[in-house]
Amino acid sequence: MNFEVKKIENCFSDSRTFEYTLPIDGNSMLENLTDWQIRKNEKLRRPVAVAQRENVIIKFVLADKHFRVSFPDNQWQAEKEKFELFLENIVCSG
Amino acid sequence: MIYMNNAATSYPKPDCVAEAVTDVLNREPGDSYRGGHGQDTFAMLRGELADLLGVSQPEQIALGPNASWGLNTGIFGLPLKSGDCVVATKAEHNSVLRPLYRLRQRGVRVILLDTDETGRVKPELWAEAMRKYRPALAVFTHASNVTGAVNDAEAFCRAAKDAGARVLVDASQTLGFIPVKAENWNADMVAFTGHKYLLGPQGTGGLWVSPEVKLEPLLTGGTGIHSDMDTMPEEMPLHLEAGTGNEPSCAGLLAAIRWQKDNPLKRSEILSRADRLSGALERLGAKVILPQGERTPVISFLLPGITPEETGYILRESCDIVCRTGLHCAPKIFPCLGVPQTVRLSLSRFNTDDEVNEVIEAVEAIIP
Repeated sequence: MNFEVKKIENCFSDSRTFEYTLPIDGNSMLENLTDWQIRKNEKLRRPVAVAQRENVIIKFVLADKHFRVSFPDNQWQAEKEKFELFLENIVCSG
Repeated sequence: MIYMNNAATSYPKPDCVAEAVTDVLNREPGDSYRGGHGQDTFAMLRGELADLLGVSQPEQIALGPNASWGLNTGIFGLPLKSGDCVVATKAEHNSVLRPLYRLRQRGVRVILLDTDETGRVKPELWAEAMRKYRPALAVFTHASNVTGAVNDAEAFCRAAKDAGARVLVDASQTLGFIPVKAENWNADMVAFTGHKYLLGPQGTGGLWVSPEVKLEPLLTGGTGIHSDMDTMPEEMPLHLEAGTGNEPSCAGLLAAIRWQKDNPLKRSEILSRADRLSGALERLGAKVILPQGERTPVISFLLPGITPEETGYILRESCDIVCRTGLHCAPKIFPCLGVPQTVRLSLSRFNTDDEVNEVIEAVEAIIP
């Protein structure tokens, strides 16, 4: 596996949020999110982006290699596996 | 980094706090109540805490690892039985709620009173509940950790005592910022923490118990003296303090309290800074929960079109601003506030006007 992942806990016992550390930064990631809905905010000190496709949401700082990913409550494990396969493809092709 | 999560734990601490912790770790251990020699950090700390809590007998202050320990000691130490009633508020932290839920499993009736839309419990509602339910125990937080709204502790204690209840005050969010007057209020117990407005290290807290109240200890164990007895000694504070105390952290807390005596907190300046921040957030379109009257420098808000979790993420990762988002361990208050969760900024004496300006600029840049 070419990335690290850890669960992010919050106030909610059904949290499905994970932080991925990848060998690519947010700018490179954006190039691979062509069919995702993207919101970019470049007014901030470190510009950020939020990407969404169906109910999977990725938040990241453009210049950073950490990605916060939230999966939907139902089918979250399947969605997580699918997302990680997607990441493997990005990392390998990059 | 701009730290505005002081309702969770204070940062930074005065330099003397770390120095005091280090000093204790580097010298021969103290041995309070253990028949030895040397300075008694715990007794000196109890003396300072007695002044802050407004109590005359420092030995009635039991020291423990946090306010949760103090609250559990107070709640489970009373001889409550099935059929008894406990009244508390929906502003309580889980450190009160979860012990009460455990009591409920034992057949104790638990009533939680609504707050208003700013997190404060109306004194008349409290007084009415005392008359109606005649609880064996009444518990309330002095201030909401979500909104900063301060409850009228004197009126609450009076109503509870008039109804024949024991009354336990959670002063975690106020001690060191809002005056606490346990004896004047006629409270039975006050739980507190050392690492918020008192600026001490984490791992410090405790419970003051009126001499008129007899509690069963939460823990039993070694006390260093009376070791030939099968039970915990009756004398306070040993009665409630089993095991070796956390002397390094208590020394840090003692140093912090003494530092604050030399450097008194300017409450009105901090509140004015918080007001300026909450006013600016409101003008930017945020829904801000704004308690009127006495309050702590806590601001809970929501931004339009962006979740609290995302707001907190961007503040932290993009702007180096530390806040807290979610339920703040006080889940029952949110229906009263009319919001599902919030972003919380909580200021300390160390936050500056420039930092407030930076937070306002950051929030302005976040709003879509």
